[in-house]
Formats: sequence, structure tokens, C-alpha cells
Amino acid sequence: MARASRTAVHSEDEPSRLRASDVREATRVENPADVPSFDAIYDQHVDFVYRSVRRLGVAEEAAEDVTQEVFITVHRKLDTFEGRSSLKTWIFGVAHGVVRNHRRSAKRARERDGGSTEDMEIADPITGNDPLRQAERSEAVQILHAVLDAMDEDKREVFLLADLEKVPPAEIASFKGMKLFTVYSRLRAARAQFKKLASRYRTTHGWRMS
Amino acid sequence: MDLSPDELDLIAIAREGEDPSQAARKRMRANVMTRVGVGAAAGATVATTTAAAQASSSAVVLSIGTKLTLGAVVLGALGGGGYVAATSSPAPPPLAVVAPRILDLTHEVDMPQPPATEPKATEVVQQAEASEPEASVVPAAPSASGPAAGPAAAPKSKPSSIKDELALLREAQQRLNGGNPDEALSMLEDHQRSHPDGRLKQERMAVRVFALCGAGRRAEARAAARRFLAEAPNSPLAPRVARACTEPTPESP
Repeated sequence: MARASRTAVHSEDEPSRLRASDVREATRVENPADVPSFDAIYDQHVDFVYRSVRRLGVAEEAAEDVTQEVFITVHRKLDTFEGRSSLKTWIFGVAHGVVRNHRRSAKRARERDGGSTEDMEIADPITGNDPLRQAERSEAVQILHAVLDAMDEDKREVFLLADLEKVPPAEIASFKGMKLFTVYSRLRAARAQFKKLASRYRTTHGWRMS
Repeated sequence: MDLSPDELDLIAIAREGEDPSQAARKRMRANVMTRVGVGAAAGATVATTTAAAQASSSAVVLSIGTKLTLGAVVLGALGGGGYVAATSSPAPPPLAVVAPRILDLTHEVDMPQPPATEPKATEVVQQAEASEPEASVVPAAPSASGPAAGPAAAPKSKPSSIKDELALLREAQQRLNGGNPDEALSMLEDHQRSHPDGRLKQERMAVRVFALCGAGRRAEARAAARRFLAEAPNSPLAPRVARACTEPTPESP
């Protein structure tokens, strides 16, 4: 696979965005062979994939495995990437598919195991020295994911890309093959649903962090 | 329609905790690169690895939403049995597991007015069901059950502010870090009094273990650690609590 030429305009203070824009730029070329190397794609998108996988409802203890599956699939399907959407949204599409499969097999496994919950909460080794800051973050992650979990799938997808990952609506439109107007109206509906669910959570759980 | 500052805040704070850890990054990269590198030449190896990975993950796979249900059920059960009955349908198995923990919990925490919230719990459930029908028809059944039950799971007479709790516990942690474990312990008692079933109860219990260690009250620390580990064996804090002022097996007195 040929490494794409890096022609994007860089902003000084945002190295990670800079790389993402590089790839976006690179994927707009006509020749699909001009996508970056798998290594580069992996390094650039692994955090995004991991986050997305969890936001799409995969439990933390399974997120590593699912993330790996996503990249194995990306590797296998990379030749079929035609540059019609950005590489980022294409990878998101792959991730979404892998997550759906995972959900199905996870559900089967749960049914088979009689729904044991012994292992459902998983240890996330404390990395910092401040358990409270960690708690605050875990709390926010838990709430965010709970709310995302309760959203309709089509709304969640647009919300996740537009509001959590700052993917431009036009890019979402080409990724989903939707009209821009439809993306906007779905995003509006998604935000309304997010607000409703978050507010309900806040009211009943005393979430007042600000 | 834009998101409110609170909502943006929630997203921003969550964002800090959403990326994989360095260790996870390392593991994933090594695995993926091995698998795509070896995969081309030896498909069989890859298939085996994949199957193994799937088997190991599926055994412990449960969604965040389901985890939340467990938390919700714990909270709810503290308030009263009515809630448990009302919300048991989406995920019946957790209840059996949760029940003993609740008993432990009531020993650990001196709760001022435990049964007072029982009627509320039922009310909240009914309200939530009436006002939010779409929550129950969300696709992806197992994970959707969490949030549907989640918001109904706070049968507290006044919702405790997580900000207040954090402030108190931070203060305690600072005293402890500053070499004043006794002061830390007294702040933790304050927290226990003001937020007996607070959302950061586990964090309080953990900090208390560290503070007791710091105060040289090793036996009490180990007892507290045992209670914590019995109640929250899978808590992110469990490894540290298990190591606190004792050898790896805090079970031995």
C-alpha cells in the first residue's frame, strides 16, 4: 500500500487533529490505492475506534478485543475503501458492523451462560494517584455511555460522530449516503433525545457536576 | 438546538476517561500487528487467536448499560424491595448476585433512615415508565435495559450532589496526603453521615482503608479492606485496596 502524500495544511497547536486532517485530505484523492499504510491508519485511529466501540455499547472488558477485531477487518477490507467518505468515517462504519456482530455473540454467550454477572464489572487499574479524579471521570463515562445506550441507534450514530468526534455534517452525509438536510435534522433529534435522557439521569441520580 | 454547558461538561469530563490506557494501547497494537503480519502467511493461527480472543471476551461480556443496572439495583434495593421487584424484568440474574452485597452494605453503613424512601422508589419507576416509553423500545435489548432502569434507580429523598461528595472526599484525601490520617478519617465520617448511600461510597471506603493504614490502625484497615473487597471486588480501586498496608491476601487476619 502506498503511503499517501501529506499535503494538508497543519495547525501548530493540534497535532492529533493535524494527522486526522492529513488522512481526510489523503482520502479525497481519486486513486483508492493512495490510502496511508495500515500502521499509520492504526496509530491514527486506534483511540477513536476504542472510544467509538465503547460508546456503541461494548463493555470495557471487551473493548480491547473488539477494537482489535475492527482493525483486523479494516486490514482485510482496506482494498475496498473507495474514498467516497473519509477514512475516519469508513473505519467507523467497519467498527459499527463489528460491534453489531459482537453484540449478537455476546447476547448468545449470556444466554448460554445463564446470564452470570460475576465478571460484569471489571477492574480498570488506577493509573493516576488520585482515585477521586478517576472516580469523577469514570462517573462521567458511565453516565455518557448510559445515555448513549438509551438513544435510538440512528440518532446515536450521528450524535456520536458530529458532537463527540466533531466530524463535519457534510462528511457524515457522504458516509451515510444521506442528504445534508437529513443529517442536520437527525442531529437535531439526536440532541433533543440526548438532552432528555441526560436530564432525566441528572434529576434522578443527582448528577450536578459542573 | 445546542447542548447546554452542563452537557458539554459531561462530555468533556467523560472524554478524559474514554481513551484506552497506555497498557491497553500497547497490548492491542502488538496483537493487531502480529495478527495482520502473521495472518497473511498463516491464516490458521489467526483463526485460532481470534476464536480464543472471542471466547475469552464473551465470557465476561456485558454492556455498560447492564453494569449500570447492577449499580442501579444496588441503590434501589437500599431504598426498598419494591424497586427491585419493579425493575427485575430486564435483567433478572443480577439480583441474586446483588442481594448478599446489599446485606454487607447495610452492615458497613450506618444508615439514618433506610426505609423512608420505599414508596418513592415505586413512584419513580412508574413515572419513568409513563413518561419515557421510548426507552423500553430501544433496539439492542441487553444494553438498553441499563439506562431504562437507571434513572428510576435513585430512590433517595434528596439526590446527593456528586460535587459535594467529591469535595468532601478530596478534602479527606488531601489531609491524608498531607500526613493527617486522623483528620482524613474524621472527614470520611462526615461523608458517611452526610452521604450514607452516596454515589461515591466505594471511594469513601477505599480512602478510609488508606487512612486507617496511614494512622497505623492496621487491623482495622485490613478489616475495612476486606469489607470493601467483599462488596466491590471488581471496583477499579480494588487492587489498591487489596495491597493497602497488607500482603497481597488481605483475607488473612
